[in-house]
Amino acid sequence: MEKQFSLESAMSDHDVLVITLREDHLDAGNVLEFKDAIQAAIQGKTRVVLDMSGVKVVDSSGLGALISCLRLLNSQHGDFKLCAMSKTIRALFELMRMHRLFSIYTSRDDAVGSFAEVS
Amino acid sequence: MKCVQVARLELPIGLDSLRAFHDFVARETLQAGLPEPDAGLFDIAALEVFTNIVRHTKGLPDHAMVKVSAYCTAQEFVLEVVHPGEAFTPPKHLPAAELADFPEGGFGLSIIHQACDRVTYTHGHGANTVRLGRNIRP
Repeated sequence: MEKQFSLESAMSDHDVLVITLREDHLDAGNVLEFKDAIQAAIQGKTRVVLDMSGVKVVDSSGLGALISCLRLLNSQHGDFKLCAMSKTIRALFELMRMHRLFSIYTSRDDAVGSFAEVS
Repeated sequence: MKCVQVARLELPIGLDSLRAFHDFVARETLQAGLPEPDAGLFDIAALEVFTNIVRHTKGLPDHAMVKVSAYCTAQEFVLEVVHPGEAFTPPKHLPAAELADFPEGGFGLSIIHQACDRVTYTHGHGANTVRLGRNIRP
């Protein structure tokens, strides 16, 4: 049976799509399923927030997939923002200097609200 | 020093083993008393090692297994990963990823070297051994 990556998506204020991951790992073991799922979810969207509150582990494959999302949204004159990271994942982003590439927020509300500033 | 015994695990070499491998490493770094986020970053570095073995090892026999050991010396927590296959040459220099190019790969080795205090690789008798060390701070 084909594996699927579990995520939820819902529209929020300011026409922002909020995606919540329902898997606690984003790594080489499920990154292909993640890419399929999130690309389907963000199709045609320009304002996306990824809520990472349930994610415990991200590896280099996961980082690459997130950059792919950012690249796609930016190419459509949109943005892909992250929120609610664990301390370890935040430390990984800083270790790899990814925090300079992404807009990262402590909470979902802050991430969604940040789009209001550019409305 | 909290991890006085050597903990061992043996797993089939495949991405299906990734979760069990991670859970083992996470349990042992916790047992060793590594602080966060050091422990979590070390766990991710170990994942990168395992993934590289799955993806890049040449000459793996059918049903190959990886043998994992975790232990503490007086100064550091050590994770030892032994697997069959041809010898490989780890790159000596890690090119820094140019973030402006939005790179989507090539982070694994960088994570391994930045999240560990010591990384060694040896090959002998048909087996590759990767050792990751993280200093234990008193």
